[in-house]
Amino acid sequence: MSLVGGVVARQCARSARNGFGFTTRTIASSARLSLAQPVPKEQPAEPSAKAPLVKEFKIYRWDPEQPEQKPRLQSYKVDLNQCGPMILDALIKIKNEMDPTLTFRRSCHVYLGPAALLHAYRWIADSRDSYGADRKEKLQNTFSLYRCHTILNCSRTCPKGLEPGTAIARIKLEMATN
Amino acid sequence: MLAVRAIGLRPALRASRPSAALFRTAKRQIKTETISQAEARLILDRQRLHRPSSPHFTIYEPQVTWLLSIAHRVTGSALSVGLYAFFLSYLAAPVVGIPLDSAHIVEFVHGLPEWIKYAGKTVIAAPFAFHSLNGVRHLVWDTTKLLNNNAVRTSGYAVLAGAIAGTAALVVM
Repeated sequence: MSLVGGVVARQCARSARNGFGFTTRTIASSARLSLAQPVPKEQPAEPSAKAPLVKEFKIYRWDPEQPEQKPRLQSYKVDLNQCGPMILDALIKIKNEMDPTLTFRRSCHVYLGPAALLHAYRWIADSRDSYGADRKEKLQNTFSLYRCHTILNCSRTCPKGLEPGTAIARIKLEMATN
Repeated sequence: MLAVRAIGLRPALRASRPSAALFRTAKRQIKTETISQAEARLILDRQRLHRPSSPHFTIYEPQVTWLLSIAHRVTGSALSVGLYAFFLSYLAAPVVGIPLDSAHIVEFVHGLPEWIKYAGKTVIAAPFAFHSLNGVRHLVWDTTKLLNNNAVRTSGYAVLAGAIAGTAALVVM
């Protein structure tokens, strides 16, 4: 390995023999980490490969560069077995692989959704957690918790059978009574 | 933070990092210029003036949860508008010259045809009955009771049944 500019020394392992009895090599390199290229992922045609689980995403598209054109639904088919679990993963996959013109932004720093509040309640309700007061203090504003109007769509739609609506109601009761 | 704006061909503002293999082999096909945060915001605001709102109400599957919730909000605002109009009419009455006391109101309603009386009572009683019963349901939720899906559905239908019965009772009274 030629010494280039001395940026990063990479080491694979330290000991010659690790606990599992395998021999490991130590590689030191001053080559830039950015020169590293991942091995392209091969898709072997094994019989145990997952059958594609194709889901159709219909996205409402509108082009600000052509505002007079009416917005339309555009269909994308995504193999869910080759994709992360979130809708955001699917959108990123569509943008990377199928249609780079798909543009989106997300703004989650102000509002907390039912999932986040359920998670917060998990900690508030835990007697072993000593930061309950701080967590409740963080919710003392008009947005984070109190934008909930108990519509209860969240519990109805939860694919895991959790009850964010219940958790949120319990947070509200604790905030009001403590 | 400076924003980067892509110009030239159909711009592709990447929201995510492209895979390393793609990045290595593809040539840069778009030119970019750097603009200030304020200018980026101006462009966004200009787009937003023409941006259509995406379907949310119209596309979400109708469900007991949100149908009753929006009915609660609509009946609540309708009842409030009616109540405020009634209160304000006490201020307007002497100005307009129409007397607004019990004797005149009773005499006026007495003279109306039967069907208008029943229709009018229904129009006032129905939202009032529904909103009151659903309001109790909301108060129960605030005590963290009856929040699971089954209880929400059952109590929702119970409120609807009670509202119909209550409206009938108020109309024939």
